[in-house]
Amino acid sequence: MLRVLRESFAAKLFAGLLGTVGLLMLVTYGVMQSVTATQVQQASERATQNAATQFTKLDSIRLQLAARVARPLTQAPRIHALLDEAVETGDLSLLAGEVVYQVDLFQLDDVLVAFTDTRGRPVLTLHGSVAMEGADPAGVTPIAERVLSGEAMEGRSYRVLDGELFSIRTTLIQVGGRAIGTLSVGLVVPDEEVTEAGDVLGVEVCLVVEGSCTAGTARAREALDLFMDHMGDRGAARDVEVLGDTWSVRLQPLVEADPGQGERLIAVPLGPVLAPFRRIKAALLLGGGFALVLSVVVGVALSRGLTRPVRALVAATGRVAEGDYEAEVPVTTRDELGTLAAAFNDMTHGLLLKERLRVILDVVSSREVAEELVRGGLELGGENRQVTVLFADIRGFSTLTEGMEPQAVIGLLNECMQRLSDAVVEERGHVDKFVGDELMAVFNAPKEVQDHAGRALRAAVGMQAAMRVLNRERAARGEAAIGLGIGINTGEVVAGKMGSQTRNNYTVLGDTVNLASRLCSAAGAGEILVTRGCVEASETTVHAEELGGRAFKGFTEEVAVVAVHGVGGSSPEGGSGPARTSPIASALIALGLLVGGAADLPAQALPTLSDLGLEYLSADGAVQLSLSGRVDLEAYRFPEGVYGLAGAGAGEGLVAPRIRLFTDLFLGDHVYGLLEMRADRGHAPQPVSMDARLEQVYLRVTRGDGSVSLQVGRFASPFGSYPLRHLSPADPFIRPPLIYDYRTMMCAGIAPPTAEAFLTWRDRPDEFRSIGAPPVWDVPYQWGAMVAGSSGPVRYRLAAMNSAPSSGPGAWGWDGERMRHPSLVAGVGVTVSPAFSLGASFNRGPWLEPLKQGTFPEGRGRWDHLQTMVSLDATYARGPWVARAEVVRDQWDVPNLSEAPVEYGGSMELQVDVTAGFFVAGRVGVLDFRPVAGEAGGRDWDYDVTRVEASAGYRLDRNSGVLASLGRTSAPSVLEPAQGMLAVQWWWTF
Amino acid sequence: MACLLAVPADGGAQTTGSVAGTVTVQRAPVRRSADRYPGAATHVKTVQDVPVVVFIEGPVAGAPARPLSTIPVMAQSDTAFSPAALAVPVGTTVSFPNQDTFFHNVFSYSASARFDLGRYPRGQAKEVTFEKPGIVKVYCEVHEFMRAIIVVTENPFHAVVDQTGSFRIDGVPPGRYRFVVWHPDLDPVERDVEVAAGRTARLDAELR
Repeated sequence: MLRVLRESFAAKLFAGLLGTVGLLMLVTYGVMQSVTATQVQQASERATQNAATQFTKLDSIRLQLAARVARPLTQAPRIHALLDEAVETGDLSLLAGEVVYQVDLFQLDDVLVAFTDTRGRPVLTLHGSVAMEGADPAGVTPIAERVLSGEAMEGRSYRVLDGELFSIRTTLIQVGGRAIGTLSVGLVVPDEEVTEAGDVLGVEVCLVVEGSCTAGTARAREALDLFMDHMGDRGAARDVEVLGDTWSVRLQPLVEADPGQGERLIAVPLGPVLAPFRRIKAALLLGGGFALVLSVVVGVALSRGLTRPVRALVAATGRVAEGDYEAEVPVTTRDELGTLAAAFNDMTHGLLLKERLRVILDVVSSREVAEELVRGGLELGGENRQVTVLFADIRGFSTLTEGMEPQAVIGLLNECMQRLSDAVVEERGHVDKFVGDELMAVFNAPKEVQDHAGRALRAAVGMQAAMRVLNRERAARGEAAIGLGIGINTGEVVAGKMGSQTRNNYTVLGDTVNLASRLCSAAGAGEILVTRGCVEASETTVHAEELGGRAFKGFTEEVAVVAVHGVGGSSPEGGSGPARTSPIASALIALGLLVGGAADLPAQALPTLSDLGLEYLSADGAVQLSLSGRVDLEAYRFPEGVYGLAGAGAGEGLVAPRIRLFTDLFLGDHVYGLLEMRADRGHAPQPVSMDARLEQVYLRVTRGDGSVSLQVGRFASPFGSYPLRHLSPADPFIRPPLIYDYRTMMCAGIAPPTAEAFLTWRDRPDEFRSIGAPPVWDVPYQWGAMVAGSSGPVRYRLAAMNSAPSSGPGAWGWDGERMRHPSLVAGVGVTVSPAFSLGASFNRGPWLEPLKQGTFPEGRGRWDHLQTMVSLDATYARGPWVARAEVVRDQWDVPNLSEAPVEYGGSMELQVDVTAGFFVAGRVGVLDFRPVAGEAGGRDWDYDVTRVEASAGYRLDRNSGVLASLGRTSAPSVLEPAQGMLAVQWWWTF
Repeated sequence: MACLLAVPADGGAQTTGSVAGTVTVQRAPVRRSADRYPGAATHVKTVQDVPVVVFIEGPVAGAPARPLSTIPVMAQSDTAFSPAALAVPVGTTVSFPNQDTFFHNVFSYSASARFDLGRYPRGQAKEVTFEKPGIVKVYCEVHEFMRAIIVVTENPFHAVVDQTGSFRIDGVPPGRYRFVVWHPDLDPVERDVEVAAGRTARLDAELR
């Protein structure tokens, strides 16, 4: 048998076919078994997952409803008073009445409400409108104790009462941060909800609470004990044969954090998953048998068809071996055997031709030359011909190969030269010779070609391209790049066989060749230098640059040299630059990701430092030290750049993180201190490294009744309405209003000497505004002292701050200004009605920075350069709408001017809470610079500015959210043209 | 009445005694919060603090009737009850004026006086007459952190403990009385004290 296999191809083929089909069947069967197992696994996991998701969703809807029912009960002062009364006197009737009234408003069928006192002892348990008897009829005490101890913010439990299953949510009832008890609200989990969901999902479900199935599908109830018997330690079982089907069974805790509350049993029937696989298995067996039979038949037929042509080939090979190159095999088919026969015939023809050419090939060096010789088209001894000569030379080859092994040098050379000669051959050129690291090629000799100049240029561009590819490969290997210089010239040469009678070379000679060589030497790495004549002779479009006449050694006249960058459609760099996404699009994508990602965020909030217990509270409550912080992660896009904001060029974006750490200190009821550390990339976000600094530090002493306080330290200058709400939920934008941005307009480099100088200031950035108005995107934090207080609806504040109102952030620190530029700030606010409040503030102080004192006009001092600001603001809030408006009058005293330049600014914003946690806002800001009289008549002393902004924010949870702002600032100034800004922010307080 | 009028004003032989003392309070500390930015409207977010009240339980024989010349006032001012504690004899009418620019709704569910004054604007006042003795906890339905107490006593002898924790009750007829030291959040202290004519009895208590 083995001998037959060894000697007969037909037998091998036959055995191979049978073996292959058999093996294929076996493998298919094995794969199918494994796929079946995987599918079953996946299907059961998917079904379990779907069921879990579905039930979690239903549960969360119920919990939300429970939260809504609980809200009036935990927040109403009446309930607080009644609970207190009930705890004190044991009289439950009033509390029960009020609770039933509040709960009835929700029109729910079956609600469980349970109150406990501050020790978790049940006070009142109501099922519907009936007060339940017993010590703890709803069993809420254990959960209430956990909530009261602060172990959990919210308690979850499941209880069976009167045969119904209740899902219960327990929360603290707090008044002003002090717990007065707990409230549990339970809603029924209807049996139909579970059975219907089970039907829809195609699974059997059962909620197992207190050891029995209180809600579940019929079959799950029927077979609960059987299923439970199969349960392993990990709460999962597969291939459980129960009720005439195969099942995958899992147990999931109803409350993730508290498995003792009950479990959800999910049984996935595997029958529907297994059925198609059973059918495939049957089909496979049937089809496999058929394939085996077919393979026998086909095997026999094929082996017969093979033997005949093979024998013919064997016979012909024998003849060739004997020297008969004219042996031929009949080609009868077009399959592989036919191809083999044809190839055999080609081979014998080739052998015949080679034999004939051997003598000629012995004496010439190149195939083109040999062919020319064979055709008889080449005269020995030389002829004058119009050709294009190309020299290519590796730049710095000796430096490159210094210290390399000779073999490696040859390898490197071959690697280069192969690619270079390929480029020549591709353009039908003749590689004349290699001299070390240099290659010489000729076009139009010995073979005549059309457009030889153009071909040479294309070959040169191709060579440089090939070198770039090679360099990329070398770079990947960590090797240095290789530069190639190319020179090309077109002209007449003497072409012919040079050398002795027995050993000679076909080559070209003449000035044309020499000039090409000189051009090559002059070309730098990556350059292609050609003569103007060559470009003119080319019929191809050439991307070239005239370099003018150049003198070359050995040539009396200057030669017009051209640097070629590309030919035809190709450019030497190849392709266009990387695709760019528009900044707006990319920012929108980022926002989409943020919001989309937010939807998946867990509903519970991230913990704060005080949640984590990072807080000191002395036993008597007199001393409290709290740590907290806020992180803002902001991304900006400036389509046109921002003038004066380094690094914010057109179309550039930047990511700016900001971290703030607050330390609040309370000493008794009257002393409060704050320390704020901040790390960010500057008040206006810039692509610089993070800078950490002390932003606020102050001590506030409040009088006994809290109506008046004195605050000393470094804090936000209280001018205007914005500093009171910046970086708070009442600030719906990322950037401050326009009027605060431009408060520092007069941050001049020198004091203006004359009125005319002042009036040209707006167009002369160099002296007065070295880089435009400094971007100030925050309120100034300055050192100072403030008295603030309130009396009835009136709030007031009076402060002395150390910095001028117009100074930039650099001057805000203690070291920046000292007390040389004190400014006086006063403000008053009136709450006209709960919805409407008004405010006014005033700020006065010198506006020039100390460094500019030397430029003051004769006899004038800083007190002649005062800035006076007055602002009026109004806020109106009604329902989801909040409208804020503010106007500012800004006046600068400038000596030598007949009148003080004045600017009016206004800002108006409207914010609406669309749904809980989601708001949109719009804002308009204007700055109007008033005319100032000069010799050439009056004119505005600066360009008016307008800004329109839109913003949207979404609060992800208790202490984080996202915000996106889109704005456009327009000014007719050439210094600060129209600018757009798109910014997204994620904030998190901890 | 005649007896009372007969007491010499220059402090001769006195027919009544006094009770004085100090009350210390041990309370769980309350977490505070502050506005970090200057001049922002200040909101008291913690529950209004109520002082401790000391009074004699039950009627006192021979106690003079002291008709009040003015109606006691418990105002709502700056989202707080002012004062936060009142002690009045049975039958007293108390006025609740609203001095804020916004609405309040004063109510109580205490057994001795259940009332709900509804919402009324600034400048208006409503009155409640307290007919039954007992402690009345007063709340505002609009502002959950506002609270106050009114102690309705069967005798005119009571005091609100001052900020230093001390109190004094004068003009008590001699005898043995049950004194109650009371605060809404703490367990009350009840103590029998002998009051002698011309003397000041001491009553020190610690509330937990």
